[in-house]
Amino acid sequence: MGNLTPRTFCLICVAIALGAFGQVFLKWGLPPGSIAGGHGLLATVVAILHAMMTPKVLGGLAFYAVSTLFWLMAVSRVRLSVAYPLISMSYPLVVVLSATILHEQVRWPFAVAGLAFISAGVSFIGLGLGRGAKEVDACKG
Amino acid sequence: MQGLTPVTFGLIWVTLILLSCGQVLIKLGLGTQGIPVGSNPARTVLNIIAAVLRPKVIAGFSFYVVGTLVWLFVLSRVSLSIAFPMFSMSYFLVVILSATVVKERVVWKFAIVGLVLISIGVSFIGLSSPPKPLTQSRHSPQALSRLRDAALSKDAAYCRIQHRL
Repeated sequence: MGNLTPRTFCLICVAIALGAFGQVFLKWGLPPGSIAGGHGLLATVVAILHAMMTPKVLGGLAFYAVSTLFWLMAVSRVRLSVAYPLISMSYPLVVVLSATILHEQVRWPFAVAGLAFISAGVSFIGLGLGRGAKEVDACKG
Repeated sequence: MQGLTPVTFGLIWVTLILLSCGQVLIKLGLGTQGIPVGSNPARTVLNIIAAVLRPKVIAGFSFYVVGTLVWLFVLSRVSLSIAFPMFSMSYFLVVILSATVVKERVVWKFAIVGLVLISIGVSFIGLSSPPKPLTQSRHSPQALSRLRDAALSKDAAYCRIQHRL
């Protein structure tokens, strides 16, 4: 199972960028109050479906679907212990885009600390799962 | 800025559970063999259609759709800079489902360190969430504006007293 090549690196970068911009589009198309709640489950589902039918939300969902395809292509070619640390960069990216594009107020000291721990954690999970597990055995042997 | 509430935090978990279970169902439905490649392209397309119509795969996609709807509901109520990092909690489910349902090997010392780090990180993100949106405050608008004036003039005692009321 592969090491990182320029090709797979690009696959992962495209997956991260599309996924992040997809989330930004979704949030952009769903301002506060766009989905009313508290009128029963059925009414809420109808409200969500209604709010979905805007170009921004549909575009966001499309970005997200394509991003998933790129991600699946990447993880079938690259070891998880390499792919997961890269994919964990999507968390800082989304927060930076939220602050710059969506103008959300971010409390940076908390956000930076939180994102650093999350990225480190996701990287460790990559070492502990699936193909990573075999690599660890190989290192021991 | 839209902060987290117990309801939206719970709904983020509902999203994560639905998406993770959906993914596992699709994986189980496709099996270890994957989709067989036919003797010609038409045969392969038929095989893909047959695979997508397997009950487990249909159930998996349904979980995905419902999970996405719940996520849209959450996004309309929580800042993206708060909600999205919470997605990393899905690795709890990834590790548990990988070990139990999919029966993949898990190196526990790495997995546990990773999950602990993610929990600390998510806690920091949660701490960065504002405690309560002003618009949903139990105070009247007049009381709020008095409170804001007092806060601006650094009348801490007034703020404390009003906050307790």
